[in-house]
Amino acid sequence: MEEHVLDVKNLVKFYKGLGGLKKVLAVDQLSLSVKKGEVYGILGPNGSGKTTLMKLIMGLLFPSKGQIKIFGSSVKKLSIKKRIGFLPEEAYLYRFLSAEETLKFFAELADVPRREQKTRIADALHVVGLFEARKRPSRTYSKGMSRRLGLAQILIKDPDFVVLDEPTVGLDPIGSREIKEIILGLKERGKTVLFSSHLLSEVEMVCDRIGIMHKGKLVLTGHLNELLLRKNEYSLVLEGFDIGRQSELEQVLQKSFHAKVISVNRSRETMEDVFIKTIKKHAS
Amino acid sequence: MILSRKTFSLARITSLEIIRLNLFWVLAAFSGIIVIFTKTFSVYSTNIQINMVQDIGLVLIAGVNTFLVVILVAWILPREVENKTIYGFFTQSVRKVDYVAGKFFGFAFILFLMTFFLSFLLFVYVWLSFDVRAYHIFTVALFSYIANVILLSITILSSTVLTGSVNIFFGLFVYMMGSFNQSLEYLVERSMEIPLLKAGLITVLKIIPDFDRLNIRDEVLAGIPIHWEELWSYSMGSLLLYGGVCLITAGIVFSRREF
Ligand SMILES: Nc1ncnc2c1ncn2[C@@H]1O[C@H](COP(=O)(O)OP(=O)(O)O)[C@@H](O)[C@H]1O
Ligand SMILES: [Mg+2]
Repeated sequence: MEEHVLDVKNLVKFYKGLGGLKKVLAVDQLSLSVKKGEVYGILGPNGSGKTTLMKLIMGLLFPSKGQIKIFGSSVKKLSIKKRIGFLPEEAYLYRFLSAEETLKFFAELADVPRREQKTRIADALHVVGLFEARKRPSRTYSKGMSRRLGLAQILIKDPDFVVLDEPTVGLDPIGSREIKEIILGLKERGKTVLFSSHLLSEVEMVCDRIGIMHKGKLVLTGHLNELLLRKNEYSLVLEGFDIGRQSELEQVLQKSFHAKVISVNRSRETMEDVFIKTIKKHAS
Repeated sequence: MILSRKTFSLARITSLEIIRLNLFWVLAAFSGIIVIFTKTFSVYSTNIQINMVQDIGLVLIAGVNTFLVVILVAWILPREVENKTIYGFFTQSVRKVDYVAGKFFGFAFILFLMTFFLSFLLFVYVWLSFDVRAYHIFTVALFSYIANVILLSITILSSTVLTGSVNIFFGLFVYMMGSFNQSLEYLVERSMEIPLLKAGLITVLKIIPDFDRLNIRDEVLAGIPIHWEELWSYSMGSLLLYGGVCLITAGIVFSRREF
C-alpha cells in the first residue's frame, strides 16, 4: 500500500466577517493527497486560498467542513507536529534573536537531542548561507535572509513532511534558485514537500505533481510530465548544424521517418541562467 | 506536567526579549536614581526621613513592576499573535500550556530581577545613610511582587483575546479596581440603588484580587502589627488560585482559537 503523507477530503473553509456577517469562502470542497517522497506544488493567483489551505493543514485554522489527515492522524497531535516543518508566508521569527540563537531555541522546541544541536545548527546555517551572519540580530536581516532563516529552522528539525508557503516570495533569482535547490535536496533525502507559489517557473523546476488553485478549488491536478509534455512531439537540439541546409534535413526526416518538422528555433538561455551565471562570474 | 524543558526554553527567551529592550534598562536606571536621591527631597528630621525614603522607594518598586506588567507585557503578548511569531510555536510540538507557562515564568523572572535589584539598592542606601538595616524592605517588596505576579497572570489571560492597546487599558482597570477594592466595595454597598447592578459590581470586585491587602507598606513603616499567618495564606492562596485559573484558561482559549 502506498503511504499517503497528507490526505485532505472535501475541505471547506469560511472566514467569518465582522460580527459573523458576510462570509468569505476561501477553500471550497477541496480534496488532495500527497504521497511519501513527493514534491507537490500548489499554484494559484493571489487570493486563491493557498495560505488558508496551508494554515488549515498546520492546524492554525480549523476546517468549516471536511477533514485533514497527516500520516493518517490529526495534526492536533504533538507527535504529528514533531514530524512536520512549516514555513509561513510572513516573517514570524523573533527579531531580537540572532540566527544562531533562533536556531538553538527552535532546536530545543523541536526536541533535537542536545549533543546534535551544535552540528545541526552549523550545518543548517551553511546550507542556507547564513553562517557569516549568524551572530547578528535577525532584525538587521534582509527579507531573503529572514526567509532562509525560516528554512534553516525547518532543516534543524529534520521533519518528514515539509510545508512551505510561498518560500521564494520576495527573493532575487539567486535566492530563489537556492531555495529550489534546498527543496530538491529535501526530496533527495526522501522528504515529502508541499509548497505554494504564484510563480510558474518555480513550480516547474522542482515539482513532481502540481495542483492549480482558483477561488478555493483545485481546478487542475496532475503529474508535471502529463500536464506539460505534448503528445507525439519531440524537440531535437543540434550543435554545429548548417542552418542553410534546413530543407535537406526536413526531406530526410520526412522520407526516412515520416516525421514533419514543426518549428526550427535557435536555442536560447533563460534570463535566469544568464543572470545567475553573470553574478557568479563576478563573485569569483 | 506544566513545567517541561520547553517551558524553560520559552521562559528564557521571554526574559531575554525584555532584557534586550532599552526601555527595561532605562526604567531600572531611572528607578535606581530616584531611590538614591529621595533623601534630598525631604527636609524633615532624620526619623521622618528614614520613613520617607523607604516609603517612596517601596512605592516605586511596586509601581515600576506594575508598569512592566500593565504596559510592557500587556503590549508584547498580543503582538505575538499579530506578528505571527506564535506560528513558530503552535506548529511545533509545543503545547499551548507550555507556551503560556513559558511566558508567565519568563515575565515573572523579569519582575523578580527588577524587584530584587531595587529593594537591594534601597536596603543598602538606607543602611549607608541612616545606619539602619531595614530588612522589612524585602518583606514589603516580596508581597508587592506577589501582587504583580497575580496581575501578570490576569494580563496573560486577557492577552489571549484582546489587542495590545485594549489590553493595556484592561490591565490598568484591573490594577485600579484591585488596589481600591475595599473602598470601592464599601462605596457600592452604600450608594448603589439598583439591586441588580449592585450585586453585579460587588461580584466583579470580589473576583478581582484585593491588591490592597498585599500592600503592607503603611503598616510596616508605621509599626502596626500584621497578622502574618493570614497574610501568607491569603497571598499564597491568591497566587495559586489566580495563577492556576488564568494560565489554564489561557491555554484552553489558545487551543480553541484560530490564528
Ligand atoms: N483572516 C481573514 N478573514 C477574512 N478573509 C480572509 C482572511 N484571510 C484570507 N481571507 C480571504 O480568503 C481568500 C484566500 O486568501 P489566501 O488564502 O490568503 O490566498 P493566497 O494565499 O492564495 O493568496 C482571499 O479572498 C482573502 O481575502
Ligand atoms: Mg498566500
